[in-house]
Formats: sequence, C-alpha cells, structure tokens
Amino acid sequence: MTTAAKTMTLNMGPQHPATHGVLRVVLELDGETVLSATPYVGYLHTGIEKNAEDKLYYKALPMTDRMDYLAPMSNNLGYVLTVEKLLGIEVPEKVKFARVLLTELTRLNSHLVWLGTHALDIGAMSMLLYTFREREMILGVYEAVSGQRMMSTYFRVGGLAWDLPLDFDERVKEILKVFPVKMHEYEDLLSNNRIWIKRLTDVGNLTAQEATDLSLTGPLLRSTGVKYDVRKARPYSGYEKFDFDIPVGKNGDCYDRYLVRMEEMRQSLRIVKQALDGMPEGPYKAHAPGVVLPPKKDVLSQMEALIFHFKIITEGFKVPAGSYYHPIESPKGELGYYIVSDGSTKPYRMRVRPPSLINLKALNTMVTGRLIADVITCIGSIDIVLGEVDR
Amino acid sequence: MVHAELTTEESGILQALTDQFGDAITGHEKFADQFSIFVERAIIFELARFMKEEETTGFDLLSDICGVDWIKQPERRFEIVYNFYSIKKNLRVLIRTTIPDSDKPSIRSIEPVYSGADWMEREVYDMLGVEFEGHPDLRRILTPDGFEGWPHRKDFPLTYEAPRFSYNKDNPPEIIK
Repeated sequence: MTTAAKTMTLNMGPQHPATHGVLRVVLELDGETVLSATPYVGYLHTGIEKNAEDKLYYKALPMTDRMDYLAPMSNNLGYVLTVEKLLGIEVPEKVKFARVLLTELTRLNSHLVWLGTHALDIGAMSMLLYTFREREMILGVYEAVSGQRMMSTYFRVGGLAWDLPLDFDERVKEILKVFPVKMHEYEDLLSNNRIWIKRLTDVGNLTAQEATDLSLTGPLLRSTGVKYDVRKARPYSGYEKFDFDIPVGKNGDCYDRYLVRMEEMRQSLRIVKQALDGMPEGPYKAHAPGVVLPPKKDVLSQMEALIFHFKIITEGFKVPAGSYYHPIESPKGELGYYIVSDGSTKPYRMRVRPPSLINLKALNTMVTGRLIADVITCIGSIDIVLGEVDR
Repeated sequence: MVHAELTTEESGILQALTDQFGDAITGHEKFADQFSIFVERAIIFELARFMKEEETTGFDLLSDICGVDWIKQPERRFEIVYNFYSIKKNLRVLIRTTIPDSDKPSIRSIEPVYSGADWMEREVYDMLGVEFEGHPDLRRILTPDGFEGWPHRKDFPLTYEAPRFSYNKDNPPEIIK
C-alpha cells in the first residue's frame, strides 16, 4: 500500500486566528496525522535591521519596540545595554532597579497574553478576558511612565527618558497585591481541568538533546529540564542582586511549558517586589556629557549644557569602533543584539537574535506524527510574536 | 576599546583549537567580556564539529549566525559571525570568519552538525547573498518569492519603491529602481 496517494497538503494561514499573526504553515497530512509541517514566515518583514543602519543611535531605539510588541521594554533593554557597553557607560543604581522592575512587568504582560491566547486556542475562552483584565494594570504602568500603553520606548542610552512618576509605587503595589490572587484563579481554572490536561500532556514533546540542537532558548528549553536563563548565567542590569529561582520542567511537553511559564510569573512578582522595596534614590540617568542629554535646568542656565543638548539632538553621539553581542532573557527566550560600530553616529550593522524565529523552527519536530488539532496547541505553546519573527 | 585578559577557560579553548587546526586560527580578540576567535573559512565545518563534540570544548548551543558586509574591503567583504555557547561551562565564544567579494560568495553549511543553524543560514543567505554549501533547503526566508537583490549588502539602497506583491510564482513581482 502506498501512502503517497492518501496524503493531503493543507495550507494553514496566513490569515488564521490561531497562528497568532500572519504565519503560514503548510501541513502534509495522512488522514488527521501530520507527516510534516513547514512554516513560511516573512509576511511582516519591514527591514528593521537595515533601517537601523541609516538612523542615529537614539533614533534606532523606537524601532526595537515594534519587534516583540508584547514585550517592548525587553527589546529596549537589550538595545540600550549593548550600546552602553560599546560606549563604556555605567548607569546609576536607580536606573538598574527601575529597568529590572519594568522588564519583569513586561514578562508578566507577555506571559498573560500568551496564557489568554493559548487557552483561547484550546477552547477555554474565558481565560482571555481574565488575563486581559489584569494586563490592563501593567499597561497602566507603561502609560504612567512613558505616556504610551504599548510602544513605550521608556529606556534611553545612559538611563531613562525621565524620572518615575509620583504614583508609580502605588500602581506597582496594587499589582503586587492583586496578582497572586488572580494567579490562583487562573490555576483553579486550568491546572486540574481535565480538558486542559488532556490537550496539553504529552503533546509536542521535546528532549533536552533536541532542544539544544535546535538552539531553543527560554521556557521552551527550560521545560525540557535544561537550566539555562541569561539572568542567572550572565547577569545584566543588576540581576545578580535579586533573589529568584529558575523553574524547569521534566517532560518537555506543552503542559510543562505551561507550568514553567506560570512559575516564571510568580518569580517575576518576587523580583518586582524586591526591586520596588530596594529602589534607591538618585539620578535617573548617567552623567556622560556628549552622550546623555543634560538636565533641563542646566540647559536653560548653562552655555555648555545647551551646546551638548543641541549637538546630541542634531548630530547624535559617536560610539567607539567595535562590535559587541549582548544577550538578555526576554519572555520568549534569549534576545541578543549584535551591534557593529565603525566609530560614527549610526550603527554599522545591527543584528537581532530573534528568539521567536529560532524557537518556531521546533514546530516541525513537535508536531510530526501527531494529530492536526495538536498543531494549534504547539504553536500556542511556542509563544511566538510574528513582529519579532519577521522584523 | 577595553582589552581584557583571557580567562583560563578561554585560553584553554584557544589552545585546543590551535592544536587541532594550527595556522587556520588567525587570531583572537577580547573586548570587555566578549571573546572572539578569527578563523579561516575553509575549516568552518570541521571546527563546528570539533566545537560540539570534543570533551575540551563542548559547545552544545549554537546561539546565532550573523553576517556583516564590509564593502570597502573586497578581500574580506563578508564577515560571518558564529555565536557558540556552552550551557555547562557558561561560556560564549564568537567565531568570526570572512569571505572575499565575488559573484557567488559561499561557505560550508554547519547545518548537519547543529540543526538550529538551518534558519539562521537561510536568513544570512536571504539578506546577504552568501551561499551555504551542503545546506539541505537553502531558500529565501523573509523576503517574498521572486525578490531580487540582497537587502543587507551596503550597496542595496534603502529606498526602493515598494515591491508589488503577487501570488503568482510564475510571474514574480518586478522591482522598480
């Protein structure tokens, strides 16, 4: 009997509600069993890396928000840390704490959207409404610090755009109070739900060997039991001062990924609490004449500050020649920026290591030999953002 | 630029690679905490295998592959940067190699060693036009079907008129200069 006559090619996407954006997957099917899945990406390609080569360093920053639009602060953080490393700038303690606090809120934001949409794909519709309700509070913090709810661009090379708002503490305390209760509610709805367990357990299994071979990072890698987290392996922005654990899974299936991400949200709340309690007083940007804008009151009263302000805005700042790769742990995995400078005011080359794109490669391994309904589960549990896949 | 001393582990890796490949290792650089080794492009496949399988090296995760276009230096125009990471040793090494300018720049694919290299190499090919010999499925990944030119080359202008998209593969979109 030949199977060739029985196989069917099915095109899923690009406009499919469960592909989380414009992802197209070509499935080779034998009945309901998937023989292979080939993702086609690039529908959102906007050439962010190429565009950055023609922009001043501070003008390339807002484009990074548009990649992983669910985690804008993480993208900003990776970029500013890489440029700061090339410049050799050390930022004040307060900036480090504020950055850690806000990127951990970003992780919560990203994981909440993941949880809501993943559950929606599987049929637990109410989760989406609950997670988006809680996400509002985090977007409220973004709006308070930067004026924008999604594309915040709050971090700057050498510090923050401006000081934290007066009601910042109050807003974050509210999140810390509400979230642990809500987390219990989510887990009540899902963790022991029979449908949820059946749809997720032993679906999309990966072994540790497969995961490292495929260069996977983030919750996808940790669910297979490999304890690799950039925050611990190579602490940046003062992460070494915080006390938190790295949750790892055992089986590397979709259910373990769910558990890992839920525990990560708890750990993020722990970090947020420590960062808020230990937030030091001090300036919100580094003192680096010619690179970081001087304080406004100096610009209005001192000739030199005015000149620096004018020169930074019109000409930008020069970055010493060299190249540097800086990874950070974004909600999706290892997000790295490789910036090559030729000593001018624009990046010669900016390469972004997109965790979503590299993790998406695992889809074929995860779904081969499984049923077509599991493809949706697996795409959901990889947690991709197509803005970052295509850049 | 701050040049720092090599750590014991880093000099161990450098020593192991020099013992194995001799003159093909052309130099190294340490910038802040980033360690790079410069190599000849001919050995890249053997080197990837050595990096992954030897006990002394043990780089289990290929973090990234990226290409840089140095248009003003034709003899070393395309720089390919391989980013290896060892989870066990918590050590990151950038392997950097160059390809001279030609009509058809090419380098050996390391996909048979690290399967994660598949899409990374496709992206470098798509953006820079460097071909990876031995890659099982070297197609464009981000740009549309029938796209012409290599966007990340420095002689590719930033402002073409937008390509007209077409779903007909036999009649690919025409890019207006």
